[in-house]
Amino acid sequence: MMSKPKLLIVDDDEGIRTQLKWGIEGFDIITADSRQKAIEQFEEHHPQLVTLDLGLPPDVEGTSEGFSILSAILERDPMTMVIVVSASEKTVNSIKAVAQGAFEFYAKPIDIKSLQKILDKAYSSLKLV
Amino acid sequence: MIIEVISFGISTTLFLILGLVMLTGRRDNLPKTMLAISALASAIWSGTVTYQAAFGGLLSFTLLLELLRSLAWFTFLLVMLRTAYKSSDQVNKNFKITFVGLSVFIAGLMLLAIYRISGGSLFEFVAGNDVLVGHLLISIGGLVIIEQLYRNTSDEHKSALKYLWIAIGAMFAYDFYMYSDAFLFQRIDNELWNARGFIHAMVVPLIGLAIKREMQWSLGDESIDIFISRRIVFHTTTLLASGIYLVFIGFGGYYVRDMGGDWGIVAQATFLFASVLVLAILLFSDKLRSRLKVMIDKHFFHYKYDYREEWLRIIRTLSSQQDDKKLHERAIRSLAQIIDSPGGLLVMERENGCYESDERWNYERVNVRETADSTLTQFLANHQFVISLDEYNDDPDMYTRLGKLELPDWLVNNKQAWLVVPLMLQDHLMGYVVLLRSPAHERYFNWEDSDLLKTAGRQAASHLAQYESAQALVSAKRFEEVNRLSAFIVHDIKNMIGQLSMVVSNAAKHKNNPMFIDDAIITVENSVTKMNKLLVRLRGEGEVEKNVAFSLCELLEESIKSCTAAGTLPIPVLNCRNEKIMITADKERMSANIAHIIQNAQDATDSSGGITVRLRKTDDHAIIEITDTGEGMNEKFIHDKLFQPFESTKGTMGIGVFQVREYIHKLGGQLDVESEVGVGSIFRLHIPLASSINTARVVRLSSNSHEKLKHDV
Repeated sequence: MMSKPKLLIVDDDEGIRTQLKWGIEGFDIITADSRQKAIEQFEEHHPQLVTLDLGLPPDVEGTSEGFSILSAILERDPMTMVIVVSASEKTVNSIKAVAQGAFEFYAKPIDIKSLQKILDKAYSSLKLV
Repeated sequence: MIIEVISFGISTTLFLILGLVMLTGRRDNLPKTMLAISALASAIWSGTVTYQAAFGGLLSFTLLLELLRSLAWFTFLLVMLRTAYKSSDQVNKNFKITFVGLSVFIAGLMLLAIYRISGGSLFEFVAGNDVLVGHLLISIGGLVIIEQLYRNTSDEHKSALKYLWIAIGAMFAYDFYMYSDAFLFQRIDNELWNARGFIHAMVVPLIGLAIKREMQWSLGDESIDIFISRRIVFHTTTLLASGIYLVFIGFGGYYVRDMGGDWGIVAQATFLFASVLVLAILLFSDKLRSRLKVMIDKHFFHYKYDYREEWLRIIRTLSSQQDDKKLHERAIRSLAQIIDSPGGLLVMERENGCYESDERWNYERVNVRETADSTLTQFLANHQFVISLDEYNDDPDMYTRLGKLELPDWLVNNKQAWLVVPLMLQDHLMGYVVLLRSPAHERYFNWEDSDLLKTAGRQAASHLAQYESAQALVSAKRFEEVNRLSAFIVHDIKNMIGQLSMVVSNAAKHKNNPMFIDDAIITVENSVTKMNKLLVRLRGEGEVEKNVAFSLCELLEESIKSCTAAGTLPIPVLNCRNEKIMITADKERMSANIAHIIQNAQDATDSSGGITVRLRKTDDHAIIEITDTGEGMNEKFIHDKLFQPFESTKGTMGIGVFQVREYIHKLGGQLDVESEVGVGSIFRLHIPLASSINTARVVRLSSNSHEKLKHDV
């Protein structure tokens, strides 16, 4: 039996991490709540997909932590499919995320079905590559 | 008799020496000549008194000479006063009138004295004391002028001239005392008369000292800067008028007592009380004060206003902090005070471009709405003229030849409205003030009033503009705060919706799984916590900070670890000289701040460069130095951009150096930056060390007591 692809969920909100673990199907899910933890988990598990919240502590109201993680992940593995998830509605953040190499920008609130579709599409794209 | 001879003999000798010394020097100006003449007049008079005391006779001659001596000293003082006005023809004319008036007065007094000495008793006034009254008036007049001269002599000349004023003042003061006594007891006291020679002799050395100190013999020269204060002239005039009034009332009182028979004393007391009451009413009358001021300004000064005084008053009124009146009302009052106007109306430009009534002070309620293209607005904006409604009514051409002007009904209908003063901010009409009539000023309104009001209007306009800018800034800050709060609320609500909708959608599949139920409860609890936090923030109660004492070296290690976890280079080198340096702060927030500075250094420094984090301490501060060999910043960037909130070179709106500095300031520390382009930067954080008292405590910095209550419970 083929092992499931790994998905790293980076979000500082415990409720979101927990519910995504229950709701997202077809992936082996790992979670992280900070930049340090995210990098550690990435280096340990090498996930093919990542959902990344931009507003992480200590810059919860900003985006600096999220973009730092995005750079660090893509530096380690440029093939990683990163789906940036943010409550920010600023277009500049979505453009910047995609420009930096993110697969998709997903605006909160999270709807589990639509996120599932994006993840499936991302994984399909990865398989094609 | 011998005492009188000695007393007046000494006086004669000293005044003679003074007069001769002055005559031998250069007499290059009128005051100096007049001083010499006055000294010689005093010498001749004293000599005559000495002769009369020794050999008898010459009584009438002595009396006449005394009056001439008084005339000489008076003339000297008037000449000194004139130095302040010498450039004005009007003042020269006034001086001549005063001098002629004084001469006529003295001559009349002399004739009266001769008449009385020769036994004449016709027109007898107050029991034959009329000559004494004349002397009394001369003494009072002399003292008033001396007071003026002393108060208004510049500091530069005061050290020398004060002796002159004291000397002459002392002579007049003694004469006043002696003649008052004589007036009271109906005869001149012998002892006081005999001492008069000594007294006058005593003042001569003081006059000599004054002249010696003023080595340039510049007495009365242009170099003497005598500035006449209007306020002092006003008060002195009031005082003098009050004094003269009381003297006459005194005479009246005596007359009433003499004529009153049995009712004499009662009638005198009633009369005197009523007179003092009238005086008090007059002194407190604004109208009378106003008219007196105008009279003084008109007749005694080149210019109508003491501009220094006016300007200080305007600024004081506009910037008064103690006055709880609004600035807009103070702006009206600052203009109204200039011309003693009893009230006014402020009309200000609104955002819609119309000029509408804004504030009133003793002005009837009126709704003004003038459009920007009304003739009144256009006239004020284009010509920046103060409009006098009287002038406009008398001669409308005076205004309409400059431009079209039709006064609106609300202005024309108010018969008390008098002037319209534009409030110009640079070349823009910010508004205008309508002032009510001032009975004292309206007859003499001229270009001077107009210019001063116009200039004061500009000053008031800039104060109003500054006030409006400050208000706009406060509003902008509030909007910004609301925007930030809205962003925060939207962020949290989205997360909560996401969580709860995921619970619902996951429940369809996993509702029978006890583990899911446990997780769902945790998720809901998480949402409740978030909602509570949101409520706290919406109430404006701030965030809770947990201030604890901790080792700064450990915190720096953790911060560096977090900054390098993502493999970011260069890796900072930590140099803690003392591992036990403790500070008290919110550990998480401090860590975020330090991490931010380190990340900035990493962003600015090439991976082959170096970053050093040093920790040391002084007596009361811990110092963290974060040094990088990065691209550095120029002075302009540090000054204009680095500490600006919401400024970022990274295109994000995250935590900035501004916020780091704000937090360090909040802890009582400071943040310094040194940088050179191409060399690198040093960020130096000075943070107060934790004291033994406040270690390991948890405090709540904000006013919120919500969290604290939870702990207490």
